Amino acid sequence: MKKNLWLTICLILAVFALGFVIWNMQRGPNQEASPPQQTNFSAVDSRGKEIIVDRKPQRIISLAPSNTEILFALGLDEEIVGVTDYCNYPPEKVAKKEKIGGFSTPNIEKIVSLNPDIVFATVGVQKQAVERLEELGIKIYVLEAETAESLLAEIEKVGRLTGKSQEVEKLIENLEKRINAIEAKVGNLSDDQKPKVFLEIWSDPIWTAPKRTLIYQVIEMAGARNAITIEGDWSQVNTVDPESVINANPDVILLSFEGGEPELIYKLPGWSAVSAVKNKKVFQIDPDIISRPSPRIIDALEQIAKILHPALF
Amino acid sequence: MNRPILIFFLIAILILVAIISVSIGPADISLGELLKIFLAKLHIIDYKDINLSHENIILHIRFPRVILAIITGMALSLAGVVLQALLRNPLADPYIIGVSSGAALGATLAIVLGLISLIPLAGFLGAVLTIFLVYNLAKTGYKVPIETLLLTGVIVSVFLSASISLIAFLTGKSLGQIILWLMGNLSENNPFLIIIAGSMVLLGAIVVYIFARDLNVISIGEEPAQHLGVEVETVKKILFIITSLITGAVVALTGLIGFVGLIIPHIMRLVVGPDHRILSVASMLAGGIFLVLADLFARTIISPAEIPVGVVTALFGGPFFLFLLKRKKQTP
Repeated sequence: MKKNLWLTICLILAVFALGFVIWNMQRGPNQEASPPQQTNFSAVDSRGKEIIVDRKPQRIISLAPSNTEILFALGLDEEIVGVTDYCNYPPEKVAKKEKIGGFSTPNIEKIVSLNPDIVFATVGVQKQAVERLEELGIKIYVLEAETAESLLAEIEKVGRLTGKSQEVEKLIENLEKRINAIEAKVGNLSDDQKPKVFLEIWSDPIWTAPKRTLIYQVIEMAGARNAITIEGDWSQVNTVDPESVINANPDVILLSFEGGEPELIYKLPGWSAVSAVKNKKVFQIDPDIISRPSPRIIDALEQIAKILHPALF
Repeated sequence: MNRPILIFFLIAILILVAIISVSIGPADISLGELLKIFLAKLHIIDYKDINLSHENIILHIRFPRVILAIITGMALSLAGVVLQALLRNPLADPYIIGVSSGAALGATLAIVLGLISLIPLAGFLGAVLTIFLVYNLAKTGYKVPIETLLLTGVIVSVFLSASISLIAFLTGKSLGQIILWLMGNLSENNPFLIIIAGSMVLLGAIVVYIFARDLNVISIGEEPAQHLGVEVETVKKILFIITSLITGAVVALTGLIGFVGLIIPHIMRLVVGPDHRILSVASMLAGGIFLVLADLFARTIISPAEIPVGVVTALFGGPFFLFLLKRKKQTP
């Protein structure tokens, strides 16, 4: 009898103990995980619209090469399920992803069929596609960045929205460090020490980047003055009369298009008196890194700064 | 107004607008300096402290540009006059039988392949091959019936335009460049290319002038022309080739500048009447004047940015033409 009593007490205690352990196992890790696990995934996109996803996005589609670069930089290799035909960076990673069509012509059906938790689109030509996808109940984050600050802010929001808070902090920290390193070298230059730079993104007719574009700002950040300023953003006319370029007399010309060889400028009739031509200061820059609001724009910043101020680097 | 006076008058206006256009631009260059630069270049005066950048702007940017505008305006208007007569169709313009889409396809390929310095050559080859194709497709026996030629030209044009759209679509990145080329611009300043195009237009104009009487008769009808002893098929063939070559030559350098070749012949017909001996000359001069002015507007209105000149020609040419048409109706 006594033996049975002891056994019963032991059993009850064991059950309690087990219950406690299980109860503790369930809630324990939650209490211990600090910084706390992210529970809400929301961000206000470039349109000012709040985008909320119910869980950490598992299936992400990018509708622009710049977005794709940002997403891969955040380490979302697994989550990205679809990219555009024009996404070419990072090359070995985008090659394995499904293609959802062109940049201005994304395939709505393909996007829907990939069942994304969130789609990262951009402005301008994609407006119509964005509207149609939203009508179909797909969550879309529209990303636009016209300045380096807004690019960093956007990258940070994308990081939080996709549950990559720690990765994004590291990425931003790294980008800011690189920006500051350039700033430290060229920040104290006087206006006279800053060369006049003309960026040519196409030659027939001559085409340049207007004032409200990231690359226009990047040229200034690299310790230069833009030789020609056209008001507006990419949506405005940005072809330039060659006379204006000669008249502005840039010290450096940056060519950023396929086939943009410096020889093209050196042999142009009438450009011989331009300082950049006289001193053979025409350089080629990869169009992808200057035209995309992505972390690689900082590569462009570093390249341009080194071209303009070789003595400082 | 009698003919020599009219022609003299048009030449005077052309020279005047050319001088005005050369003297206006983003760089501040006075008329006096302009004159000195030209006189120094011609070794008439010795001008030591010349501003090299101003000299370059005048001699290599503005001057070639105005010359190219004149040549292009002349070529397109002349081609328009001839084709409207040959095809007996008021809607005919230099582009109607496919020269433009052929040139555009050639240029598009060069743009997509990144062969920027080959754009003019590719454009010209595209134009010539297209005309060769259209002409031979339309040929039945040794005759080229105009209805067949017109239809073939239009169909080939549509086909080539679709090919351009396809290439532009598939390559995405070059879309903007292709569209800008299609809108036309006069900034090509390679003197060699401009001289070639100019010589072709001059030779073409002489040939057209030689056949101007035949053209008068053909524009009434091919049968009466035949009865009057005009070798219709031969004249047609020569003039088609000539107009296609001169159109191809300028389109290759400037892209598609629309409307000049359509409306200038009509406007000049309202002014000087249908005799092709005067009509061709007057249209060429008027085309030159019109395009110089259109380009001046295109490059100065939102300077340092510039509008595609093809947009300006259509924007101004259209309403002006309608206005003339209306006035003509009111005053019989």
